[in-house]
Amino acid sequence: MDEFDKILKESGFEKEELISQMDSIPFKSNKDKILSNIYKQNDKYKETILYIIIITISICIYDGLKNVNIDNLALVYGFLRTIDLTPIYTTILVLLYTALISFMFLFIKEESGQNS
Amino acid sequence: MAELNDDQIIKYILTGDMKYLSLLINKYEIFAYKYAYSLLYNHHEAEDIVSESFLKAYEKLDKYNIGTSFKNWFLKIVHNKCIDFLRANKRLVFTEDNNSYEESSENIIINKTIISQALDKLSHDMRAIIVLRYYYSLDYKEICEILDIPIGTLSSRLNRGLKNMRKLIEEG
Repeated sequence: MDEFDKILKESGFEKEELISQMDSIPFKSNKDKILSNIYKQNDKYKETILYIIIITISICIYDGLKNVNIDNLALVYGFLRTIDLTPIYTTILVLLYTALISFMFLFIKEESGQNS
Repeated sequence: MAELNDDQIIKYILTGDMKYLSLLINKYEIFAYKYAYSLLYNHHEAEDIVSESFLKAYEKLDKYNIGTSFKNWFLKIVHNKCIDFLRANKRLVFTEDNNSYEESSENIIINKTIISQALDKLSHDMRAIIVLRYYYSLDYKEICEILDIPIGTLSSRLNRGLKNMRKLIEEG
């Protein structure tokens, strides 16, 4: 490796020269474009999450949302928020919880129907 | 906003606070741009690479290990984006090719007033090593991590580069 440094120096290469050349590269910030690209991509994720939420809600309504206790939902939401989950993830988890409860009730209903 | 270090900024971004993203861009845009430009020699391409690199860094931010160097992690993304771009445009030249001093493509836009001629003639991997070593002041271990090569490969590339360099010096 030291030989590399030596040969570079022999070739007339100067570290300072490289630094000044790199420093002199004209630069114009593109921050707005970069941010807009990231936000655009973020919106795509949000759209996907929104679709998942809509589908989950639809399933919940279809399978009997009336079986879910709203007070429990508020408790679950509150608990998830206390463990530093972002509101969007909390909402998704609460909806998943709702769907799970709905399915459980549906399952119990079917089981009891079969037993009787 | 008080002076925050990279890890603090990243933690805020990971919790969904997007306003901290611009802090990261302010800090590393010029840094990434100069590296991309030193490999591509084209302003528009370098700008696009930087933009894509920030997008990728944002998407993969949860994979970044807090406590390590964000600068090096991000430089690796920029480097990979540059290499992918050069490969896609059939402009990538490696030291292994033994033709590393030939022009990789007629389409390369080179601004010889900005980067020295000697540097222009180097292969991309050699140029990356020199810029990382002397402009970004990274040690060889860090360079290996960014280029994703073992130290043995870096050493052999440097040796091949040295031979070419000697040839270049002898030819004047």
